[in-house]
Amino acid sequence: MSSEPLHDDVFPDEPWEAEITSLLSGLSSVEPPPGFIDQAIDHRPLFAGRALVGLLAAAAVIFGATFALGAFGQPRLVPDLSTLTAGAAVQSGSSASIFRQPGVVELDQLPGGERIDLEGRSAWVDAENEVVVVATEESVVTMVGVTPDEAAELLDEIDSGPEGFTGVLNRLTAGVGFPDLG
Amino acid sequence: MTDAEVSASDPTPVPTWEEVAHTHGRFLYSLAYRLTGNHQDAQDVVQEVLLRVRRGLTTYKPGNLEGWLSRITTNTFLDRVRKQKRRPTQALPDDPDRYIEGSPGIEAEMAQSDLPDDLQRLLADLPADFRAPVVLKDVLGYSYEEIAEHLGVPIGTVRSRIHRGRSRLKEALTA
Repeated sequence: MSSEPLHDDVFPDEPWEAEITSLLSGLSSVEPPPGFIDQAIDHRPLFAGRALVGLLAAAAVIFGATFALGAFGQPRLVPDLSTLTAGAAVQSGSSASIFRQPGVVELDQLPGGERIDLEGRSAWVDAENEVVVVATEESVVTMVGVTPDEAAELLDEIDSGPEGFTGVLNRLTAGVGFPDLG
Repeated sequence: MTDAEVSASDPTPVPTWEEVAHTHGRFLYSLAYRLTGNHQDAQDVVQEVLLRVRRGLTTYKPGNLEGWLSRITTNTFLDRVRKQKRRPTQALPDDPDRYIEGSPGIEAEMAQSDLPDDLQRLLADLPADFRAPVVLKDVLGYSYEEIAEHLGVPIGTVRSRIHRGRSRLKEALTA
């Protein structure tokens, strides 16, 4: 056992601190809204929190601006963004979702943000560091709710082809087996 | 008897994800609310915590389940704060020796106010790095050692942050 004295022995709380503690310890438990826990269990694969909704909205703005600028060579969302929002917008370790669309993107024309290099791939990150657009050989991958470092972890699997991309989405949807984005 | 024999003779089953949610959901929510200060963010935090729990149960070793859950909840909250940058954290000078003068009768001064709501509001105004250890210590009753382990910071830092958090609460409550 260590002979080092406990911190409490060296720096005991001041009397006024005990009063604060007394007040805080008297706070009652806060009940969740009725049905919240059951709903969370029933909808475990798809937890679309407000933060994620906000990020999706940001992504939609980027998509819209991108199309307006004609940045995509094939301005077509496959699958449709609304479908992705319902089917692939999930939270894992953190709020995260991934979109992929065929075509090429002119990263310099994306609004705001900055160009970055992700392990040799051309990419772009928004000013909030939460939306990453990556130009792959034949498609554009947009990751919402991940930082560039986190996005880099996913790129190899996504680049392995449709199966790899589907695998990432499946694991996102299941909420398991995903790299710890938190 | 070896650890393995003890484990084999008295196995403590790992709860299912649904059992954790049902049994500890209220605990998670209450902690999330005290940390976030509002119901919407508390719900987001709990949802994210439950996903982390679901993944984490595959490697969870039966023990102090509420301690494990509170650690996940606190770190989920802090991760969100850092990521969302809603309230940039302030620099935290690490000087546990710096104490402020106490004043008697804080409780008496505040006896006439709507304490729970006021206290929660002031708690929510604390920087996240102060708020989390204060909640863990004063609301949940964890020791400094446990909080240090929860947050992955030295115990002196925990003590300093709690002291500063309390002092800010005191100043706000008596203002």
